[in-house]
Order: sequence, then structure tokens, then C-alpha cells
Amino acid sequence: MKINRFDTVIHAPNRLQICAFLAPLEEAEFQVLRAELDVSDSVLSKHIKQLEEVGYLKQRKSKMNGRQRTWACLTRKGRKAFACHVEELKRLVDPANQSRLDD
Amino acid sequence: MVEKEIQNESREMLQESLDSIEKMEQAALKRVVPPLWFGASIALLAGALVALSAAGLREYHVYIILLMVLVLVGKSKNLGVSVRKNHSKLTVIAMCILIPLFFMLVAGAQAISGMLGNVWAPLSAGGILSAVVFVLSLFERRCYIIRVGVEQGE
Repeated sequence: MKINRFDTVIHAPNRLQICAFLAPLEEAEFQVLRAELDVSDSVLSKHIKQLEEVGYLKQRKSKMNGRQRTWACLTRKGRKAFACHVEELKRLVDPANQSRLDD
Repeated sequence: MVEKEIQNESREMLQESLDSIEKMEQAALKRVVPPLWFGASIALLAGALVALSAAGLREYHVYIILLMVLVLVGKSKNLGVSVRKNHSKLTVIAMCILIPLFFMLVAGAQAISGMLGNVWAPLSAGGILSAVVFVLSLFERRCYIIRVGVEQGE
């Protein structure tokens, strides 16, 4: 069974959602991500840090109206890993591959 | 180890993961659907640019360009997300139509100003470009809405 494209770092539910939200975008603000995922600041920070550590995500800070805003975006490596992971998930849910999973 | 992890997950769980991916991608796209006011504003300003060029009032271009920048900033300011620049074939085709159309309308308006007058010829040219830009903006909006998979009112 071909499993090298399945990424355990991405597959955790919150990290999967972060990657899925960022995939069609250039970047998103931390507060927007938090609202979409419906998690606390600390939980989101923890997952962002984990994605950042493997080089899948990077953060940028900017100041607007005296308020600091943090933006997150997927790196090229992150986009590639996410695309491969989604492809692998699709392959695994395909009934043709299910019998091989059950074996 | 990874193999074992995957085998432990049922097909339903993997399908749930795929569903959550789709849901989040749609949520992201929903945030970047261009509003109607944005397309209308850019269309009006592009039309004004043509009308001013055709009327020979190029000293006012800078104000129109500043207004365009303000509209762009106003649109992206409170979104909290920025759109991924995706220069599709369609965008390239649209630009290939719009740029020559701009110059053709300016030249055309100047040529027929003797017939329609110095006011109506530039206004007509501006109106044509506004209409074209607005239709293109509606088309782009429609593409986003189809990708999101929902019809949403303003």
C-alpha cells in the first residue's frame, strides 16, 4: 500500500482545517482562523506552531490602526504536502482501495 | 507506524476528514467573494478614466487612480483574508480584451466627437467600458459563488 503521501502532521483535525482554510487563500488573519475553527487562541497557536516547525506554514505580523495583526499563510512545501494528503485521503476512501485497507 | 494509523481509521472517518476540508475551503472562498459594490465602483472608475482620456482631461487621471486604490484598500481592509492571485486563462483573456478596448474607445470617442459632441462621445465611450467591466466583475463573482456552492444575497 502506498502511504508516503499521508501526512500525520496535517491529518490532526484542527491542523487539517487550518490547511484547508488557507489553501485557497494567499493568507488569513489569526482572528479569522480562530473564528472559523472555533478554538481558543492557545489551541490555534499550538497548531500553527506545529505546522510552522515542519515548514508548512509561516506567520507575518503587521500593524494596522495601532493594533498588531498576525497573518498566516501556507508555504510552497505546505501547499504541496496538503495537496498530496488530500489526494491520498481521496484514494483511501475510494471503495476500490478499501478492500486493501481492510486486509 | 503510519500504515497502522491509517488502517485504524475507518473509511467513514477519512470521509469526514475530506468533508471538513471541503467545508473549510468553502468558508475561505465565501470570505473572498467580491461584493457587488466593488465591481460597480471599479466599473464606474474605469469608465470615468476612458471618458476623461477621450475628453483630453488627463490631469484628472491621478484622482481616478487614487479612488481606485481607495476602493481596493476598502475592499481588503476588513476581510482578514487575502485572495490567492490566480492568473487563470480567463483573466489573461479578459486583460487582452480590456487593454486594447480602452485605447480603442478613447481613439474612437475622439474620432466621433465631431458627430456626437465633446461631451456625449467621451461619456458614451466611458459608459461602454463601464458596462464591459461590470459584466466581467459579475462573471468573476459568479465563478466564486459556483465554487462556494451557495447562492448568497448581498
